[in-house]
Amino acid sequence: MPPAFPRREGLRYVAASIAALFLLASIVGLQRLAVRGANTPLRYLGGEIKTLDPARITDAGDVQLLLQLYAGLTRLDEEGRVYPSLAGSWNVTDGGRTYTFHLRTNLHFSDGSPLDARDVRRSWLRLLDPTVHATAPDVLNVIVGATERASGKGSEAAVGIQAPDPNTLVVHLRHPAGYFTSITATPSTFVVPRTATASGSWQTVNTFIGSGPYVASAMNGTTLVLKANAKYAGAAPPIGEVDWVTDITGDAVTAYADGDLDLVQIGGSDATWIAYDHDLGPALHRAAALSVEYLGFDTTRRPFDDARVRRAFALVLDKTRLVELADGAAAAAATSVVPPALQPPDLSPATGPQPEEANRLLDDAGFKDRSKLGGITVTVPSFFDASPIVATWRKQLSVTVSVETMDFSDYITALDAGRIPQVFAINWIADYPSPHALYDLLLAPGARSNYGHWNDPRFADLLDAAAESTGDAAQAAAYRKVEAAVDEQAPLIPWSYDESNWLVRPGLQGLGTLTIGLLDFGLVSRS
Amino acid sequence: MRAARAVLIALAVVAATAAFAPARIAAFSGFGPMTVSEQYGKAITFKVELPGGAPDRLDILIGFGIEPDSTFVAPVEASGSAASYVWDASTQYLTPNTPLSYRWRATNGSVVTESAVGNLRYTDNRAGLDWHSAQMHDATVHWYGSSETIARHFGDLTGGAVTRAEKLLGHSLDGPVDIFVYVSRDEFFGALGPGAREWTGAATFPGIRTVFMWLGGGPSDYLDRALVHEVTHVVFFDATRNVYHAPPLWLNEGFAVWSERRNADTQAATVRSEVSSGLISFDAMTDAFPIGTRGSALSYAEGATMVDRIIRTYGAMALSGIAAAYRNGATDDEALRAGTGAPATQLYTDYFRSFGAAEPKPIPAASIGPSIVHAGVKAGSGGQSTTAPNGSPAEPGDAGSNALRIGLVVGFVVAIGLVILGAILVRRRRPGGLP
Repeated sequence: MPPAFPRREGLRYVAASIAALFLLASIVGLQRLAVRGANTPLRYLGGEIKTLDPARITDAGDVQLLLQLYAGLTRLDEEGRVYPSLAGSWNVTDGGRTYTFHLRTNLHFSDGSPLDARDVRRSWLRLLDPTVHATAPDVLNVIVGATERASGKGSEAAVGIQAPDPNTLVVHLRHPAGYFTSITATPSTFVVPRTATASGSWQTVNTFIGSGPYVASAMNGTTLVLKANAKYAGAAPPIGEVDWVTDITGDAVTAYADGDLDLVQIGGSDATWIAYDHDLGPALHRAAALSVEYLGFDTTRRPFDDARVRRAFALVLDKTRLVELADGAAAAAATSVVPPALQPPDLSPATGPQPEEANRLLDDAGFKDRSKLGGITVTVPSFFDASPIVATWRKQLSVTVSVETMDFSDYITALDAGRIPQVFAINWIADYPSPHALYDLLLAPGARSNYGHWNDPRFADLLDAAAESTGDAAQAAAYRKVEAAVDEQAPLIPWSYDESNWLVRPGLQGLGTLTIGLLDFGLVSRS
Repeated sequence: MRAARAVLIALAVVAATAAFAPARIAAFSGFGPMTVSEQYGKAITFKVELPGGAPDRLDILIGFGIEPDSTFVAPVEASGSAASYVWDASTQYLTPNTPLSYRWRATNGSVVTESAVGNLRYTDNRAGLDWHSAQMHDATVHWYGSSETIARHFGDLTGGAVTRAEKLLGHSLDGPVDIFVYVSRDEFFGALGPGAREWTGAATFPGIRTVFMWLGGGPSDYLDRALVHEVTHVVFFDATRNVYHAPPLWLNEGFAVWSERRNADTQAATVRSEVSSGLISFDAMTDAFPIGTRGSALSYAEGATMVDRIIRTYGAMALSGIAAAYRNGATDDEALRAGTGAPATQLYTDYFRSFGAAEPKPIPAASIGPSIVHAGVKAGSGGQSTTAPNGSPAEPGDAGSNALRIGLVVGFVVAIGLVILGAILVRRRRPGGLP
């Protein structure tokens, strides 16, 4: 007879096997739970994909996408605080004028090719290369020789960026800038692969090579599929796939309610009712944007080459009331070009409208006869409603104003080509979390995004002094002087600070303040 | 001598340059004839002749609507003796009956030249729509096929609806209303463009004073009420028109619904039936109504019953006071106070109390937890040597998230516990030992 398992011995084996199975099942099961969470795509309505090139960022949507695809020396956490990324550490010497970044070892691009300090230098020089026509070379203005290089007047060799060895990057600044590690966290400065050329078409979804937490994997209909980058320098993203939805049929709220989206920015009109809705209300989150909507003047042409005229047009606006009437709770009147989250304390006191002073200024500027101002044209992107502003100018200043609107792409093209309207409107998101990101890029003499070409050496000196100041109190005082100069000369009129509204799938975490430009999906997980 | 030679050389260079220069490009000399044509739902094509050649820069300027406050500008590529611009109506929806004015602008050096102004009314000229029109009171009715009788009936209804709304709002219609009567669903929704709700049976575009009616939208009494409803929107738009602030949607729709029957009895029943489930805050119905059948129906009902309450409580002139305040750029609170003497919050509170309903409160948002990927990683600032702390994002090759790690640890602990439990059970089942 063949040997048989004694019954009791069998029972022991069965019990032990069950326990072993439990052990296995617990491990595998828990792994599956975690992995299932990780493998459930995060569906985000990100909008149109306009570029995959960090040198060609034109708006907040581009910033949001490229933040996922590339990495820089530093990075911002969900609260906007700097942390080391490709650089493991850095030293600041020479009185704050020299930054020496020590890159982590064994860094790679998403295709496995090595990434080192020379790639950072190459990427930055590419940003400054005038033949690349980068949209935001100004972010590196603080580096010695950068402005000259970007304007085509200086050589690459004269730019203060050196990579003495593969793990070291030395950067020489024009002046101390405590915010420099915030600049190195902005996607424009992120590292591009060696395949990058001057053209805007070197990077495609099908052949994508990046350095960020995700890689562009495929275009699935209207959805760009982003997959976690196994070669990313930081921790592997908890969510393995992000579906960047470019377009939807119907409205975003319905798409969220139907489970087709997990994260979506919605309009203020929907937010008003959702705030009271028992089903969707818990998913509604409001966030202050790191952006400002402002009106700019062409300060090189009459009549707005005269600060008194500019100031008159600024002073007459009751911004608090006009913004509230136009946007309700979706926006707040701007008191400075710096968004509240980036403002030092007491940067700019809120002041009411001063129509009498405004009219006096116009009289003093030689325009007592308002017809001498000529017809003033305000040119804005199609989505910007200039009606309340223009109506106020017409009514309170007795001036003749017409409004022209343009598609946003045509509008930006015109501005970049130097075709500057008399009065224009821009919504600008801070490139990095510092007041400097606004003052320097929008108002510094010669800055590419200083569309109004305001050129005030005194302002430039004050701004440099603010950059060099150390300590909270000294910095706040220095920036107050900067702001006062802007207020006095009125090269632009800060108009409003937008509030963004989001529907967030419960359980998502790591989204911080829900600020566009800080939403690093590599930090997001599901609870 | 040297100078003479230089002159000779210069002349030779000029002659050579002239001989080998390409044919001279004609200079812009003004605008020739301009035309515009449309294919509904597809394209509007603007053309202009440039007899002397193209300018340095050419733009087309288009004004959409009645007395538009802004002009849309598009750059146009121009070369040779003509230029054209196409408005892609298949992707950029334009409501039928929208009036357009357009002109061309040439910039040549510092000289700016504008053409004469051309006009077009964008017309729904789809095949089979042989439109006929008739002037009826304050309306021009438009129909095709065999719909003349009902179209004229709508024209008759318009007169009364306009008069009643004008009286309550204290404002006369600013201009005539166009009413287009559609027979088929596809034709009707083809006019409304993308985003129209499926249940829509009529629609108004007050900015161009145009009402669209669909005969299949419901029975005749529904259509009559819908016509009154839509025409009332046009009067309300005129009565409250301002560039600063749009009146809340609940007031606009509420007044239109109330005007259908000049009471809100049906809507009051709807509100009463929903009290137990919770009513909707008026602050939640300023710009849009909730999605879904209940939210939408309740929004209309609350709006109509609030209007009814205002008229009954504060008199027929209350609405004209509210409208006048909006015309002058008032906030919602200022406008309601101007018409009723009561602040908006008081009106809302009294309203909910009258139905025995709790005042709706905002729903708190669920909290969003912090990132689990890293915590508290900061860089030093201002001239300090800074090194990545231990808690910083992991070095390359660190594959797992904290969640996964925690999950595995918990899994191990549970599993080991089960193993021990299993072993204990086995031991307890062999009291006598093996044979």
